[in-house]
Amino acid sequence: MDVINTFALEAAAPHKHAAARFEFARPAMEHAPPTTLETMFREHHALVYRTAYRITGSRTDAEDVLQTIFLRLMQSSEKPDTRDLNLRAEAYLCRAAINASLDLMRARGRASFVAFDDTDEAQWVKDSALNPEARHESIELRNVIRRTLAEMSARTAEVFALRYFEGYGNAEIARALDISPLVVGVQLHRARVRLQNELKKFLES
Amino acid sequence: MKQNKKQLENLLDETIASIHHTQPEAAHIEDAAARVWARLETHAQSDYAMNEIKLESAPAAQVRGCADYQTLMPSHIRHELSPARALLLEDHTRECVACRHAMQNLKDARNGVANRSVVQLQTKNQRVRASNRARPVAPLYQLASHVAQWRVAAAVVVACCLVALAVWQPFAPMSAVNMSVEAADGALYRIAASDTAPLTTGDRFAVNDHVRTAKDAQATLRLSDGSLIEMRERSQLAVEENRDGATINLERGQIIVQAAKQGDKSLFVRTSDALVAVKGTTFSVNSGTRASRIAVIEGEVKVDAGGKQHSLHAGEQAATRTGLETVPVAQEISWSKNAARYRQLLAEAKGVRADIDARITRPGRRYSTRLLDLTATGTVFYVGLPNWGESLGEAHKQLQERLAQNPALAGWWQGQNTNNANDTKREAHIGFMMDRVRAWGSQLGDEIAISATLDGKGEPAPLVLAEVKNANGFREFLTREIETLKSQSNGHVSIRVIDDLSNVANATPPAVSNDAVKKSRGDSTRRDSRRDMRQDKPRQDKAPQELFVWIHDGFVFASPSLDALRDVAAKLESGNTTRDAFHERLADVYRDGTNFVLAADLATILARRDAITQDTAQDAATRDAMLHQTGFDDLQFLIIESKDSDTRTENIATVSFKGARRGMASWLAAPHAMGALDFISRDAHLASAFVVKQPATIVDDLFATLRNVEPDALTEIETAQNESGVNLRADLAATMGGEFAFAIDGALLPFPSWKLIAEVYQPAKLHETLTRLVGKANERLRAENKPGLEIVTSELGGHTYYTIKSANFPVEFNYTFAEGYLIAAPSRALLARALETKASGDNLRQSPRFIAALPEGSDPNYSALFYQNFAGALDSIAPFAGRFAKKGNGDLRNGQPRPADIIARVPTVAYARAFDDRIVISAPSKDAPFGITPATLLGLPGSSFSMSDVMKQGTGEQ
Repeated sequence: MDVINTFALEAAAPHKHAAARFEFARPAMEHAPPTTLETMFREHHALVYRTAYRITGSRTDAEDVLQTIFLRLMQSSEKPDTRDLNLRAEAYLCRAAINASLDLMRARGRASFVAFDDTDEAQWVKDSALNPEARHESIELRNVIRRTLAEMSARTAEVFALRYFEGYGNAEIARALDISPLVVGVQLHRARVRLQNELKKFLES
Repeated sequence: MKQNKKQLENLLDETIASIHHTQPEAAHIEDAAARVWARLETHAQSDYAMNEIKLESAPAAQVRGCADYQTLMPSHIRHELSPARALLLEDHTRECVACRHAMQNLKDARNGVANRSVVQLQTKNQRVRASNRARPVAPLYQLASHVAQWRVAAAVVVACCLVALAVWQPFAPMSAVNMSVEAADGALYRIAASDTAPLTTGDRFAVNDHVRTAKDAQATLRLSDGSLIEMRERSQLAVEENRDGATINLERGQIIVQAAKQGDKSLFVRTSDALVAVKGTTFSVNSGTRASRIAVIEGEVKVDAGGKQHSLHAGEQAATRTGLETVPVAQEISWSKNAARYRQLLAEAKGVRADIDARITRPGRRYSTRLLDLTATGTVFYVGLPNWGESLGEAHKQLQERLAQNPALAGWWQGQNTNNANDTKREAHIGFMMDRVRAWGSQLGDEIAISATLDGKGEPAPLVLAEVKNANGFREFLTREIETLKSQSNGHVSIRVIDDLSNVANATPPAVSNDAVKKSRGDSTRRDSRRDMRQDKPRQDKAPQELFVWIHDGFVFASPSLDALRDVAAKLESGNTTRDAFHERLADVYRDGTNFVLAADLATILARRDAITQDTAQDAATRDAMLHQTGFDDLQFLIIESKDSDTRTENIATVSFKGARRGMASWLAAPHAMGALDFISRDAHLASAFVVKQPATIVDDLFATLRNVEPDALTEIETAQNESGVNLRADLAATMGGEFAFAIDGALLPFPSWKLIAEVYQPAKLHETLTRLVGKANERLRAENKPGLEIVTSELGGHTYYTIKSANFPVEFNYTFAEGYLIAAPSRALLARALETKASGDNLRQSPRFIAALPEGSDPNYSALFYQNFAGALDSIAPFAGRFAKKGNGDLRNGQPRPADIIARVPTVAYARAFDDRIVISAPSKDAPFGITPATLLGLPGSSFSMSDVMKQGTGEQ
C-alpha cells in the first residue's frame, strides 16, 4: 500500500471515535450536497479542525478553515476523481488544512496577529500547571512561532507543520509533497534557525 | 537576557511540543462542524438555485451501472459529454426509469421551477423525446394548448398585482431602482430567485436581490437615500424598502454602513438575531453563526437583540450573545478600505461624549444648605436647584475646543445641528447663553434656591438666593452682566443692585427702567407672545417689575419685592434660626441628601385660600365643605425631589397630611401584597394594581361627599337603587375586597386584550348582583324593543365561566371567580390563560424586566403600581403607529422618537406607598436626574433632550 495512505490513516486514527459519534442535524433537503462530500465531512471534520486549531490557535479560525476547505471541495470544478480522493482524503485534507490555516494567518497580517488575544488557548494554558507569568509567556511564545511560520515561504511552513505539529516523518513528507527527503531536511533546518532567531528577538525585546 | 543556543533549542522544542499537544475540546469540534455543515448546506442550496450544479461527483471514468450514468448527467446537460458517451447515456435513460427521473430532476433544477408545471404536463413519450434531444424544448402544439391557460394566468397575476398595489401603496418601495454598486473589488453576484449574475461597478440591483461578495472580494453599495454599505468578503445581504425606511437584511458576513441622514425615516439592519436602527451614522454589523456583533464608529445606533434594547455610541460595541468576545472596534473594521479614516473618526467622535461626561463632574447630592434658613418664616414654596452652570458651561467650552481642533468633527457637529439657514444665528445664540450660564455658574455656590412667601393679598413674593463664591468680585461681575443683558435685550432689562436696604424706596424706579417699561409696552402690541418668552424674568410679567438684587455677607438675593429682601436682612441680623414645620421638613430632605427639591406648604396655602381665590361667601362654604369631606383640607406638604445614586435616580413625590388621612384621601390603603398580579403574565404590555381600603367605606365617603356637594346626584342614585333593587353598598361594594388590577396582556389588535382582576369576598353574591343587573337592563331593553343581554354559563377545566353578551353588540364581557378574585376579560380564552398564568407561577412578578425596573428598597410591597413595557407590542402595530405618529410631532426633536422606532422602549415602573399621614409616589429613572448629563444637555448624540432644542423652543424658531 502507498506509504502516504498508511500514514494518513494512522494520523487520523485517534480522531475516528469522534467522527463515529457525529450526528448531523440534517433537515430534509431537496438539494443536499451529495453523499460523497457528506461522508468525507463526517469522517474527517475533526482532523481538519484539529490541524487548523494547532496552527491558528483559535477556534474561530479553525472553524473558518474547516468551512473554507469543504466549500472549496464543493465548488472545485477540477477536483480529482472522487474515488481516488476518498482513498487519499486524510492526507489531502491534512495538507489542505495546514495551507488554509497559514493562508488565513498571512492574510491577517503581522500587526493584528499580535493584537489577537486568543482566549481559547489562554483557557487551555490556564488549566495547565504553569504559573501566571509562565502561562502568559507560553502563549506569547506560541504566537511568535505561529506568526513566524506565516511569514515563511509556503512550502517551508507546510513542511514544518507536517513534521512538528502533525508528527509525520521526513520520508513521509518527502513522498507526500513529491520532493526529496534531503530538501525536507534542509527546509526543516532553515525553519528551526529562523524560529530560534525570532524567539531570541522576542525574549530580548 | 542573552540566550545561548542550547537554551533556545530547548525553548523552541518545548513550544513546538506544546503546540503539537494542543487539543481543542471535542464538544467545540462537533459544534463547529454542525455549524459549518449547516452553512455548506445553505450554500449548496443557493448554488442549485444558481443552476451551477457542482456538487455531484466528477464523471466516472468507466461506466458500470446506474450510479455511474448519473454522474455523467450534469456534463450531459451542459453538453460537455463526448458524442459516444452522450449516446450511451441517452440510450440508458430510455430504458431505466430511475435514471430518467434523475435526469429530469436535474433538468428541472437547471431550468428553474417555473418550467416544472409544463414539464409535468408532458406525456411519457414527450418526456422521452425531450430527453432525447438533450434539451427541454416543449413541442409547439403543446405550447399552443397552453396559450389559453397562460392568458388566464396572466390576467389573474395582473389583477392580483393591481389589488396588491392598491392595498400596499403606502408601504410600497419608494425607489426600488436606485440602488447600485458604487465599487466592486473582486467577484460580486446578484442572486435573484431564478438567475445569478455578476455585478460590477455601476450596476443596479433591485430590492430583495441577494447581493453576495465572494472570497477575497469587497464591494460598496449605494442605496437610494445615499447610504453606503461596505461589504466584507463572503457576505450576503438583501435590501427592503418601504415608507418607514430601508432595511438591510444581513444574511451573513460583515458590513459597514454609512447611513445618510434619514429625516423622519430610519435605516434598519436586520441580522438573524438583532435589529439595528439608525438615523444617520457609521457603524459595523458582523453577523456570524454564533451571534452578531454591532460596533459603532460614529454617532448613535439603537440595537434590539433578544428582547433587550441597547443604545450604542461611537466606540461602543454589543454582541447578541453573552460570551461572544468583543474586539476593539478598530480591529472589527480593519478589513475596510476606509479603515484608516474610520479609525480617525472613531478616535475623535468617541472621545467627545465620554470625555465630556467623564471630565465634567455633575453636581452630586447635597446634604446641607445655608440657604434654607435664610428664607422667611411663612415660606410656602421652595425650590433647591443644583448649580449646573459651571458643568454645563465647561462642557460647552470643551466641545468648542474639540471642534476647533478637528475639522472632521466640526463637519459632523454641523451635520448634527444644521437643519435650516438660521442655524448660524442659533449657534451664536446658544454660544451667548452658554457663556452667561457658565459665567453665573462660576460665580455662585453649588445651589440656587427659589422661595416664595404669600403677601397680604395672597400674591406670591418670590426670592432667588444663592451663595457667592467671590464676594468682592461679584458686584463688578453683576454690573457687567447687567450691561450685557441690557445691550442684548435693547434695554428691556430692569435690574437694580441695592447696597443699602434701609435706604431704598419702592416707589421710585430709576429712569432707565421707566424708559424700558414704556418702550416695552409700546412694543408688546407688535411682538407675538412667543417672542416675549425669551426675555428675562422681569419681562414675563404683564407690567414689568424691577428686579432688586442685594449682595450681602457672601450671598446674593434677588426679588421683585423689597419686603422679601428686608425679611432676609432681618433674619440675617437677628441670627434667628428657628424653623417652622415646613423648614423642618425641608431640613429632613437635605439630611437624606438631594439633587433637586421642590416643596410647597399646602397647609398654609390652603389656609390662605380665601385671599387667593377671592370666592364669594357661598362658593367658599361649598368649597370648604368639599375639601373637608374629601379629606384634602388636611393636606400639609408636597415635596418633589430627585436623588441621584450611581446607577439610577429616584424621583419621589410625597404628599403629607396634618393627621391620619381621611375621606377620599384615605382610599389608597397601606402597602400590601398584591395577589392580583399573579394573574398577569410576564409579557404584559401594561399593568397597574392598587390596594384600597374597604370598597363599602369608599361608597360611604362618596355618598357623604355627594350629600354635601351635589344632593341632586345622590337622589338620582338612590332612585336608581330602589328601581333596580340593587344596593351599591351592600350588594356590590361589600362583596369586594380591597385589591384591584388592570392589565393589557396579549394582542393589542384587533381589540386590546384587557384584563381586570378584583379581590372578591362574596363571589356568589357578586354574581347574583351582576345577574340581577343584567335582568334589570333586559327589562329596560325589552321595553324599548331591543334584543337583551344574556349570561351564558360554561364549564372548562373545572372552572365556571360567565359570558355576558348581546345579540347586536360584538363585544363580550367574560368573568370567572378563582381563588378569591374576580377575573374579567373580553374573551373566555383570555380568562383561561389568566388562570393558567396563576397556576404555573410564571407571572409578571417573575419577569426579569419587571424586577429590574423595580427599585431596591426594604419594603417589598406597594399601595399602587404602574408598569409599562410596550416593546413587543409596538412591533405588531408598528406600521400603523409609525404612520399616525408622523402627523403629530409633539416631541422636541424633529421626527423622533416615533412609536415604531425601537427607541424609548425601556420598561418603566412607577409606584406609590400610602402611609397613615402621607402618600409617597416614586418613579425611578436610569442615568442622571431626569436622564440629563452635560453631554445630553449640549445635544450630543445619545440624548433625547438637548439644550439647543430647548433654546429653539424658547426662541420660537421652527
